[in-house]
Amino acid sequence: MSDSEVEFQSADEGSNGDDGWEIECDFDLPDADSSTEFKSTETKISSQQKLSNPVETEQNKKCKHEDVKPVENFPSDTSMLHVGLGKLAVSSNNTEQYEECNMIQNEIKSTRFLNNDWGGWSSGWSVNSLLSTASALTNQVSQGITSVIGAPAPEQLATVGSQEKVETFNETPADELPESSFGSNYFLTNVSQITKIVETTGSKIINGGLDTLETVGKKTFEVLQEGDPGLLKKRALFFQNNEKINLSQVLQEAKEKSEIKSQQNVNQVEVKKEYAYLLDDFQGLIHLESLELLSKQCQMKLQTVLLSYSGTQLTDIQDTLVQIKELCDLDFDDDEKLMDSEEFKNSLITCISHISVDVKTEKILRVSNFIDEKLNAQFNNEDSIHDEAISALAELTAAAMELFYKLGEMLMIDTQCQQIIIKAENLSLLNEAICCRIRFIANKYACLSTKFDADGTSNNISDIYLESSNSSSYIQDAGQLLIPILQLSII
Amino acid sequence: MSYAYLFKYIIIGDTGVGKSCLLLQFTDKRFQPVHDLTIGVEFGARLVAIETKPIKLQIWDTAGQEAFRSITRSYYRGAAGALLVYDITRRDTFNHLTTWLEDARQHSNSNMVIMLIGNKSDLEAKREVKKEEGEAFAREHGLVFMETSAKTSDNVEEAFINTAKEIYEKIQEGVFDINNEANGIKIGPQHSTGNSSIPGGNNRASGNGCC
Repeated sequence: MSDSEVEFQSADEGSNGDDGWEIECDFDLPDADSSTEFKSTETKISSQQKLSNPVETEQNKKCKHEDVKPVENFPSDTSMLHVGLGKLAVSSNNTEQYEECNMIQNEIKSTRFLNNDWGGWSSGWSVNSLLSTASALTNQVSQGITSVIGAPAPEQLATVGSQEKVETFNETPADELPESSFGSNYFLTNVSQITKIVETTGSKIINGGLDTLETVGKKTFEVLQEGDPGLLKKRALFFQNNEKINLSQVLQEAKEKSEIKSQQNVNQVEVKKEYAYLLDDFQGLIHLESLELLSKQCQMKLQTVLLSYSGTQLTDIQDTLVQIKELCDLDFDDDEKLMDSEEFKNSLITCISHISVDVKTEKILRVSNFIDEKLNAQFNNEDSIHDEAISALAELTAAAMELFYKLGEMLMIDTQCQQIIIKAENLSLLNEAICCRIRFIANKYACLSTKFDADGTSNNISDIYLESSNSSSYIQDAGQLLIPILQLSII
Repeated sequence: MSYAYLFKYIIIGDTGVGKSCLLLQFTDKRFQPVHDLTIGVEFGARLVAIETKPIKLQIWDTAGQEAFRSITRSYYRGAAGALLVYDITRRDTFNHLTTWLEDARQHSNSNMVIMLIGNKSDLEAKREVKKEEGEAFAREHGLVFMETSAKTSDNVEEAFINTAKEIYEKIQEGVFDINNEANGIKIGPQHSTGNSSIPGGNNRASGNGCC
């Protein structure tokens, strides 16, 4: 049995609700269908809607007509309410209905207060019509929503609750009704019933509304999650500022962008190799990424260890850590210093020997020498100088990344924790040496470029300098990543 | 050059079982009988095709020495596949598998595909660990098993590619969240593969089409 039927029955108990029964027959058609064949096709639902619309209008007219006869001092509010209901019933737009659903709820509430003052009011018809319209409305809304986003009919969800309510008030006439100015028992019961019915309908609509809201929410979430499982990307967007951006990630993205770019440049005669792409090609990225992993691990260990200290011991250790950091951050005044391959070699070997870990320097030295050789070669045009320059910078930077990474590894397993000060100093000297070498190479290529007087010369030169400062940034960042590793080695 | 996915692999196992040689054979197709001890980790990469999809395998070849163990542990996370290697001519390397496996399981993501590899299958005369033992161990721990020879290149390709296939299947099944890079999988640049050496008609057409 559908819930609206239950309500009509209970409403009719205290009145001669002939109209109510007629209405019920009309209204049960869509209602029963929707509860038994809930998963019916959309076309069926829409036909049901069509069916229920005219019925409601007819019935409302009827109600209005009878309205005036029995009740002489009928408040105009009620007729206004009916007009509202009629409008509602006629309206076929689903979203409008949904909004008006709230409206009618308010109106029902106000009618409830009015009920207490209606003197000659004896029949339940108006409540019946109100109820039936309300229930029909809920049907429509739910059907509409079902067809749009697949939410279950609110009636279905509310049926159990409302049935229970109706049964309880049938057995026990409500005693807790507010004192009415008319003492008649009959009226009290009647009003109590009406109140209950209105309450039930109200709660039904509210429940329906809530369920629909929930479904709308779920649907929204689904749409948001589309192509983004776990909302990772969207979360990342929201918490972007809170999270430290990974250097290697940035590089990876830059590389991908440049790949796309170079793909688009296929039409051009010469495909310019982008710096970030080359850096990855020379395995600079992967080494930087690994160094990041090590650095993070050490940072975490460091924090755990610090937690176990307290008092002066803690401040002592913190002072030492700060000291190491400052030594690694040595500022070099002369940022115009350049190094040819011989100077670079000497400087590198001295630094590494002071750091006293077994790290092979062959690779970076080989790269450095090779670049010198290439610089002495003849260039036919200005663009090839540019490409050579970018490639050289990327290769040397990649070699530096590898060197720093290997240094990090060796420092991690290093057992001699004395001379930490010397190590920190030399790390920063090493950093400086590589940056000088990078500057030297950039300068050389830029000078070579100026010999050609091509259109793009100026652009190419600034490009070379730009990438050289990029290289320096990567090298300095890699140096920073070594700090936690060094700090951990003294604890 | 362009790839659909990038899988990160890690090669683990006792020192001297032939991890670096396996990598060299796979990436360079050559064998180096005398190999320097690996310091920390070395890298290798190769492009393979799984169901016609180009997939870049980025391989982290770790040092087997105990001293590097703490470093190696920081690389487990973010690996989609692991090759756990032992030497069939050295029983002790087989006995240590449990420790390696525990380490890997503890520090990696739970979906990591682990392939058990008994290397040096060319040295049949010196064999100390039967193939059946390897199979039994793999069965017991839910691993894929294979005997390889980095020297003769026997099964080397298969070991790497089968692991990739398994990871690829897991992606298709939705087990891996490919948007989470901690799973060791990256999606390649979103554009079609083009051969830049031939700036010919086809490429030009596709280039115009995408703009």
